[in-house]
Amino acid sequence: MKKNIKYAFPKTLPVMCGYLFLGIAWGIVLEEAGYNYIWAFFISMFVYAGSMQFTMVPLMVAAASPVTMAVTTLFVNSRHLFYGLSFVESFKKIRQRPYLIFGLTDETYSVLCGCKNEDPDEKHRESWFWITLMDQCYWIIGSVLGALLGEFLPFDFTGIDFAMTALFVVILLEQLLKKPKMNGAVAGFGALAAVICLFVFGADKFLLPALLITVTFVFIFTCIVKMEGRDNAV
Amino acid sequence: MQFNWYTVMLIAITAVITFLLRAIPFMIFGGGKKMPDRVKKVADLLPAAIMTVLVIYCIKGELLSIATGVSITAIGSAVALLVVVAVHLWKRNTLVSIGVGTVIYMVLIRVLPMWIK
Repeated sequence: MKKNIKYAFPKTLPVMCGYLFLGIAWGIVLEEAGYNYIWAFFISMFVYAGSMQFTMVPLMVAAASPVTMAVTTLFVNSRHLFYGLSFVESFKKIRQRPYLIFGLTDETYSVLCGCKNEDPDEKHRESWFWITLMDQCYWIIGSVLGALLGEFLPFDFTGIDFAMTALFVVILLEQLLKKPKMNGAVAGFGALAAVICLFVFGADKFLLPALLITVTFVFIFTCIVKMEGRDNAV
Repeated sequence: MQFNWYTVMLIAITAVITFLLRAIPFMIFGGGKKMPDRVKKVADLLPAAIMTVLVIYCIKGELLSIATGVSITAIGSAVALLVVVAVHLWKRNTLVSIGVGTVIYMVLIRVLPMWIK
């Protein structure tokens, strides 16, 4: 266990920076909406979805209908549909599978992708649970701190959440270095689709269409590459 | 704000749907059977594609600012991201690349407004 925690902790440091900062930001929003740190604790514990937690606060204040809440959650979080696909086989061999599925946020997904990329045989698979757990702890601690201390925090941490952008870039870079051709092709298309969608749909709505188009492309791409492979074999 | 069950119900709905969305791939392909080959191939290529989209998501504000006039955070991000990539190609140490990039970003967004004025 100690070995697994030792492996997991450094991998979660960038997420720690991001989650503490964003968690605090969300805690402040929640507190200003009239909900205290106990609410912050339980929402971050059971919902655990950053962008949805920001979205849900005004809906809670307005006592939105259950249907509105459900549909909003579906839209904001639908991107998570795709994340599990990369880990279906790997998670089968993990005891704490339900928790890993529950905790598969954008950031934990990214860190686990990074782990899988650097360790394809998954020798350190046992650490994945700890990575997921530590990430959620940072998020909970951040949210509670935000709700408790509000704007009285002693330092100006603005910009520390850049660690998360940097984390995503480094993980992507590693994937590109590993398989430049295949990953390069899908990444190039993903970038193009995302930028076009960003300017067409706007900042708040582009993520889902961008992911849908990219996943569709990856599907078509694997069909084409497979056919090429066969041709070469013949 | 006093405790009320209605809000608890709204939170519960959000929690359940969020979990279900994350669990659907596992419910479809997680059984005893192996994943179909085609799906596995797609799943292997998805991480790089999704990571790229997430990177664009992180810098969406900066990208959009290009259309209206480049913002200070956009310049800061661009420089810091170049540093992250350069340091990473040089050292191949994830934490060093992220640490250096983040510090540079935090310094730039504080210092740039003074310079540009």
